[in-house]
Amino acid sequence: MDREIQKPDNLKYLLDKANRPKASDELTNLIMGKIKAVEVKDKAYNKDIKRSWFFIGVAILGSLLWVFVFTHFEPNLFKWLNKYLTDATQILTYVYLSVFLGFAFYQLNNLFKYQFAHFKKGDFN
Amino acid sequence: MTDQFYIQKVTEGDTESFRFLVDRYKDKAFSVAFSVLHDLTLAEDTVQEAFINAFRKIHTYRAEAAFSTWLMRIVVNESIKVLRRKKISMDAAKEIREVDEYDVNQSIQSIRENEQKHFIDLALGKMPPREALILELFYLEEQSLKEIESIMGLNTDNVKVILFRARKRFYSILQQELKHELKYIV
Repeated sequence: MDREIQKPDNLKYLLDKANRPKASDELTNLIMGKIKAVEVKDKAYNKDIKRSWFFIGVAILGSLLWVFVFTHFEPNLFKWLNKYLTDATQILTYVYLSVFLGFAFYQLNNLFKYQFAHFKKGDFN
Repeated sequence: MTDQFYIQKVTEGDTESFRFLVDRYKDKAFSVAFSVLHDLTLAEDTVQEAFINAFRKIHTYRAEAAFSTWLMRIVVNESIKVLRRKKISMDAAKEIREVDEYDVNQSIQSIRENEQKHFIDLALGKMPPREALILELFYLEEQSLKEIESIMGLNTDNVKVILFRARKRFYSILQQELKHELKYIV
């Protein structure tokens, strides 16, 4: 069905008579306004996402450091800390868990909200 | 200035250059969305969404196909999403009645111009979205079969079959719509 051998075609002549509404003049401004809003939003998301990855990184490094400190320097550190406060290492562990890991989970939540949002929607494009 | 020039500028961060592309293709995009949705408001919303998507994905555009073809594919995909949300099928299961195209052409020529418009709009409105879209792309936007393949994500054989079916169905619906009118004339 080649276009060249179809001409002249009555169907084209008929369809040309169909009502073909035009886009409104305001549509360009409307689209550009939305695009600018989307751009600002995307930039904010990207900033959020970068910050989230940074804090998750800090939390992971913090955990590794924590493990390293307790496996290598634990006896001395334990003595030194407990001089000032009984069960100081335990208290510090709880503080670490609640602050750093809580923050890491919060940032993970951000990531799921923005960066991985398309997985939730089932849009894999 | 070519599309490529503005696309390049947009990818380099000049958002305002996108305005040129919107201005150039908004009418075409709107006609394509309207041919599928048959609703002015929905078509306008769909075109907005399509342009926003195009802007977000513009860095993925490769100049292998024309920008308009790439953009129309996004418009068609957005329109299909809207239809899905409204649970409307792109195709029709109904069979097409055999019809003599020459007779229908003769009949429609016998009525007044404004009535012709009315019946043609009516028939197009009753077409399944996929077939209405292919008529729009082939006959009104004058896209080649290759471009239609790319826009609709179909192969050549499918495009030819749908185009053939769309043509038959359009004449068939038009004949049905004209029946009463013709009785009145006779």
